Amino acid sequence: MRFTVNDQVFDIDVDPGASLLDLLRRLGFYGVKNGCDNGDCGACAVLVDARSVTSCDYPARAAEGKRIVTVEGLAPSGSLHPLQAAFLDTGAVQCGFCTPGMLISAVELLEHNPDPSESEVREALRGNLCRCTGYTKPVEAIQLAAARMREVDHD
Amino acid sequence: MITDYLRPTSISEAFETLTELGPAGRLVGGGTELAIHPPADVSTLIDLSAAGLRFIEADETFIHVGATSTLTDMLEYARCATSWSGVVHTMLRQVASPLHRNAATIGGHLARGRLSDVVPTLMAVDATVLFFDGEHRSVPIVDFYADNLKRNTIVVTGVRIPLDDGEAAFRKFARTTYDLATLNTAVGIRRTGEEVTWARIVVGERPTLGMPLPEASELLVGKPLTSDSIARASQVARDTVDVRSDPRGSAEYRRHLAEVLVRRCLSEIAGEEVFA
Amino acid sequence: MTDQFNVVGQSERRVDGYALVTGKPVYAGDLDLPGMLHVAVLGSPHPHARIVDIDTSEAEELDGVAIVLTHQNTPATRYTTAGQGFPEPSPYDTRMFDTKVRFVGDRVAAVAAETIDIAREALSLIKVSYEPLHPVLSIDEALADRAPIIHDEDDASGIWDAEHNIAGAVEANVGDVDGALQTAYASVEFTGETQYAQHAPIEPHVSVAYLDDNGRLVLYTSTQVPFHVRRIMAQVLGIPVRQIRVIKPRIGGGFGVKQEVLIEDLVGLVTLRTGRPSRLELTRAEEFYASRTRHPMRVTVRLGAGADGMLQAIDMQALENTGAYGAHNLTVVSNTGSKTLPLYNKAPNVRFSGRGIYTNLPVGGAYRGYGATQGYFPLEVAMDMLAEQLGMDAVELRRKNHIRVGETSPIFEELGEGRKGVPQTLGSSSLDQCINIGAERIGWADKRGKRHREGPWVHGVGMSIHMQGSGIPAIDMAAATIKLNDDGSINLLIGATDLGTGSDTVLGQIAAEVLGVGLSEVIVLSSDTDVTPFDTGAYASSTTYVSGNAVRRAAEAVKNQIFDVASAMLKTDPESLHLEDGRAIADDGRSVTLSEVALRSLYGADQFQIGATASFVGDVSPPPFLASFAEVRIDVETGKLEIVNYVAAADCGTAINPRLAEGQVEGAIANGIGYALMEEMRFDKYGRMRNPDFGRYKIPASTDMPPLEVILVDSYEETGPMGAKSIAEIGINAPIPTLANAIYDAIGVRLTHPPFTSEKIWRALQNS
Ligand SMILES: Cc1cc2nc3c(=O)[nH]c(=O)nc-3n(C[C@H](O)[C@H](O)[C@H](O)COP(=O)(O)OP(=O)(O)OC[C@H]3O[C@@H](n4cnc5c(N)ncnc54)[C@H](O)[C@@H]3O)c2cc1C
Ligand code: FES
Ligand code: FES
Repeated sequence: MRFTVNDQVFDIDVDPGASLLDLLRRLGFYGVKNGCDNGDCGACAVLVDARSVTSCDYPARAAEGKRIVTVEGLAPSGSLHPLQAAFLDTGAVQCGFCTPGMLISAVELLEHNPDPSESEVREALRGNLCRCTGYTKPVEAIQLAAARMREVDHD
Repeated sequence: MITDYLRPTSISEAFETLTELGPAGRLVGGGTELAIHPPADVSTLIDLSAAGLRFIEADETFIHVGATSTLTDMLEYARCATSWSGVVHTMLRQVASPLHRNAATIGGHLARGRLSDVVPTLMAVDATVLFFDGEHRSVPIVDFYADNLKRNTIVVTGVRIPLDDGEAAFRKFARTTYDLATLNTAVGIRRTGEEVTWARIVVGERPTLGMPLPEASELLVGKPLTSDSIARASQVARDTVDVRSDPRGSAEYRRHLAEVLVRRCLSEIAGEEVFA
Repeated sequence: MTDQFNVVGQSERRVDGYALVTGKPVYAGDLDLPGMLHVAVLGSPHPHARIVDIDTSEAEELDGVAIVLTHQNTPATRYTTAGQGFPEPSPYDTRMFDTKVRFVGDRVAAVAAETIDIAREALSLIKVSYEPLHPVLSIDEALADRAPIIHDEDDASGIWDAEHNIAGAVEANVGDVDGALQTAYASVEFTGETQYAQHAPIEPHVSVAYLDDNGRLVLYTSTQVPFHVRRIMAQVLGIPVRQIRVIKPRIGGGFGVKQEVLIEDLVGLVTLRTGRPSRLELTRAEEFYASRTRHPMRVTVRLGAGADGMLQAIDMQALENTGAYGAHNLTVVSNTGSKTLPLYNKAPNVRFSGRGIYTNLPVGGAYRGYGATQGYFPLEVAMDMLAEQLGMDAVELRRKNHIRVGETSPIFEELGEGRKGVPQTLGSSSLDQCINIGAERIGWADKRGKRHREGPWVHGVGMSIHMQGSGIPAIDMAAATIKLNDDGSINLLIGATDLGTGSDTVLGQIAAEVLGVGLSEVIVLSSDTDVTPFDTGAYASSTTYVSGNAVRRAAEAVKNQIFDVASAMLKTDPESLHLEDGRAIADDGRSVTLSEVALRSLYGADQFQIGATASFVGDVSPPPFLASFAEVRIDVETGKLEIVNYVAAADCGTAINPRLAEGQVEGAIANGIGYALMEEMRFDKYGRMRNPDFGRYKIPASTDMPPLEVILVDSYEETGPMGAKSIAEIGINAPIPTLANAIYDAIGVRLTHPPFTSEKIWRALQNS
């Protein structure tokens, strides 16, 4: 089956019973985390054709022909996506285990809504459970990144 | 154990494969259920994504939603946010999370039926389920579940929401904002002038499948919506709904919630100020 | 205060941040080794049973199975899984695999196989015959006459009274409590019963073991206590400490549940026996019922006061459910008193008694708050009841009675962690300002007692105040090593374990501050038992204070060495030097860079490695303080509660990294709100957990969190590094009493059993 992950093309055999989470981790995309294996926590979120989904309950084979983006693909190596930078600047990362999934949800949000309100950000993060931060700083980070990205677009 | 993953390119092909395989075959919409908990006897997954069922469109009289449209597709479809007081949109925003709605399909959701905010709402807006069992068929959603057609070997192909001047409201009561409902209620009415000509009160997550309450609904028909008729219908809803206990709530609490939430739905439709 | 610092007091980016936000494979579960075996564990289906027979032959024959472990082929040593200092104050009542199972999910067997699927399939082929015993599913059943004895083995040690299912007991008494209560002008009594709850770190426990080239066992594991893991592993497996190396990579959250040696022994033994790498990751369900939980408690508080509101007596009686094993039972229940009672030091008569009780339910362990959470609920509700009885404002009553700088409490000395404590005089506190700020921000004066209504909603406000500690005095030891590199950069090696708290960053900032460099010059390594010096680990709010002091000392020693070299280079007195911007600068303005200093010490003259290791043990445990306020509204028709606003003002001394410190309070409050409103492990009548997933066991999601304002109110703790105290735990104690008091303010009912669900509130309204 053919698909791309972070613009890298794969053409490989995929176990028909595997989840996309298993497949991606097996391929070395360890930024995709397993927090519950049950569709509840969002740690495993990835973009499939620009939509964020939980990969643990997404059949791997359903990704055939699709473009997948994981946290590793958000920015070229050595640089940071504005969301990643904002997460660091605001202290939105504690243990970091939920962070890849949150970033993925945030990427999709800002794609559709470059200036989200606090409650829109919270809605967008609803499927990303975080036990460390209480969400205050991740929400702040996403709004900060949005503001920075709008500024860049403006210039 | 899953040993095969197929992608039929038409509804009939999907149906034939399903029929051939019997219990060993399972359709996949979003797969959110199957990827984690495939039943032990299932060996083949039949992915519907290539069967041409991902569309939402409207004509004069209906919104047509193809079965592999995601809940997000529906949420983002403008007519879902305007027809029937925008109730489908309001409800979908409260379903799980964006991560889940981006994958889950309306077909998978309807085929599963239980644990749903969607089914009661679609009942309240008088929707029709479309399916294929060798032939293309359509049945009102209420009958689809009353007759337990989802048990049959079928491919759900879509759902149709009538576009008329119906009005509706939905309430989800849950322990947290990210939980299945402890109880939900959806109410749809049609009016001519002030007079209610059609009404449907549905209570879901009791904790079982959405249940229309004809007795309570009938009480509203043939007269305007008044605080009196609203109160009476809510009480009858409370008295006639079938409820059970589970860890999300006791039967007694659910029965009480049914009254409060039905009343709030009706008050909202009547244009009263509802604070919750 | 903090303006005297350059790096301390700044919200620096985390030193490990880049790796975390870019998804680098930095967690234990990301280590994928060739030939690695996967381990799965068979848990008991019975709450209480004897294992009569285990037949593993079919499982062993399954293709791909490497080894099956049961009580028949594993060490019988009794130990405690509690990752505490030696000798542990927890009973040795646990075996790797026992002949008796004591809760549903208790270990029966483990399989290591080529894949996890094979390992799980093999589990289903193990035939176990059990002799079921009568299960004990509550504290009351455990204490009843002729209750079944849960720990009837004869080789356990350290159990207080096994025959009566009492794992541990602790008492403290100052003055004459009964007499004072009898003569008090006003007195109240309240019993609060907290529920089973789980830490729910998003990363479950995961460990990987392998043998290095010399045949030593290396454990790469998600732990808060690498040095305790090494010691306890040696004890359980019967191998010398020197044969074991424990590496703690990045950890996906712990909150106490990883202060336990829970799975390392299994991968360790599999790898020792097979010579192959092995990996075990708990499933989410196992994380819930088979790792560790908060100890549920029933705590009764009685207060007596004079007409002026001055407390005369406090009595606190705690019954703690420790579950099937006694891990942490004694210390947790001790803390229920020791971390709460000194807050109200005006009471001359104070009594505490705590008992840890065995049941056939999941096992309690360390959990953020560590007993204080369970004690603050009844204490702070009782304070509100007392205020009401005295006709006094609840805030005012607390102001009159709380401890102040320069004061002490006899409880500091009477009650420590499972033994006597140490006397201490309070050196720093901004609690008064915290209370004032919190009351102001929530609008206390305008809202309390007003029951503002809108539709079915009724509003109420509530508050509570808290203290915790900073490490366990005279027990918790931390050490740090610092060395200077050629380019003037600094290696900071610490055994302290950053489990997401940001302690690597905070400790790096302390080192950078002392050495006059930017944080980017500090290379932080934590923790590897082969490389980093000893540290008891991340628990008891110890890292910033205890480990921070060790880092400061090591940095001071390195600074003196730098001065020695620089003074020789500049031909001046060491006393005339100071460090700034990566240079040693003399009074007259001449300077050398740290790189020049390093190069001279390494290559130039009188060569030596500039570097030092220093240790720290606290004589005292300076408490952080917190004032917590919330406004709630309750839908009186459904019982639904919404938090309108939450304000927490906290004193952590100097906030070394304010954003990280705020984050600790925010996270702890969120976790506490979960515990107060939604979280509860539920069991059926066979002792099986009914909700072991996030679909049914709810923790707060982003949309569940109310507007939350956290305000840090600086104080300066002379004994702390740069004036700092620890802050990671305290916030979790607040939401239960704050919200219970707010609920009472809104609707006049006192709830006794969290979580305060809509249905419970609705029922209370029906009955009132
Ligand atoms: C974490 C989580 C939270 C949830 N929260 C909510 C909530 O808040 N509110 C709510 O309403 N629902 C909720 N759900 C339910 C969820 O919306 C449904 O599980 C989901 O819609 C199923 O869609 P799917 O496309 O992924 O189904 P699938 O997993 O693909 O299929 C589900 C079942 O239907 C069958 N099937 C699929 N497509 C068809 C078809 N076209 N014709 C016939 N049979 C078919 C499959 O064989 C399978 O048996 C939640 C689910 C999860 C996992
Ligand atoms: S691991 Fe996929 S949602 Fe938790
Ligand atoms: S930062 Fe730890 S779970 Fe979110």
